[in-house]
Amino acid sequence: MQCSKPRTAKKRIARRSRSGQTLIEAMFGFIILIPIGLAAVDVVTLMSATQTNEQWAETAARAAGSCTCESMASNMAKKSLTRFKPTNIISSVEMDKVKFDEVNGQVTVSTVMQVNMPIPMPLMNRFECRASAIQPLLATPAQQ
Amino acid sequence: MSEFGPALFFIFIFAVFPVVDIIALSFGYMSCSSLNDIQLREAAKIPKSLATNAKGPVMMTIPDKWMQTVLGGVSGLAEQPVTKVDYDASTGNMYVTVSTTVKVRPFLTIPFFYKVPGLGEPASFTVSNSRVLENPMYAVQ
Repeated sequence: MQCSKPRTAKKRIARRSRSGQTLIEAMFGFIILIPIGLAAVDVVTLMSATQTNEQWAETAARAAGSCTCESMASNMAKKSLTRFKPTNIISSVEMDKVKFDEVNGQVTVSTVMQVNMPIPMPLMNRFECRASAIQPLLATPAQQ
Repeated sequence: MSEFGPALFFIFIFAVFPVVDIIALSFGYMSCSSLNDIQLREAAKIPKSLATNAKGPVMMTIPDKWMQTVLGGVSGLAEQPVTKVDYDASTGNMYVTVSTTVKVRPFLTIPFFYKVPGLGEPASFTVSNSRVLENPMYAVQ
């Protein structure tokens, strides 16, 4: 009878420690999985914003392509970007530079987009995306 | 083992099926975006009278043909896409804007999410995009 008490206690301790182990494993699992899930949301947002920036660069280049000189092309590209409506995620899209190449008959427009992450993380709460697009010059008179 | 049945029930009803529905909803949005892109490309190179015609290529022919494709068929549309075409010359160039509204049925209708768009009832979303009109004169033709 004297020996049975310590044995029961040992069994109880063993059972307790096993169930605690599962809880701790689950907690550590969540600590790793939740940040990965949140980072995935940020990555998807960034990819979507990059795609949007490419489209704005295309639109700006197309607007610039119908002009006859560089200053007018730059002005038109800037005006085309005023159609953008800022959101909480994409705060701005601005023209970076215009290259008006009359020799090759094409215009290149670069845009810069400020992207705020929906789930801000340390050192990764704001990104600057750049895109450029080339369009043919449509307003250049044909060679005689 | 007695909790195995209820656990499976909760996992499927509140985790697996909603995730499947959200994936199907994303596919529906992607296919709607694809339809809008095709319509916009067409609207940018045809006269306004044709682009805004209810039986024209932008508002009828393209959505009809698109619904017969795999992309249109699998996306599970509840009704015909609704298209709106607008013109805007406020920023120097003439822009055409095409907005496409679709209603997508949930892939699996989950009874517990009654009235929740995308899970218990069809979800409606609009994709809108603009492009410079190829010939500015088309805006008045």
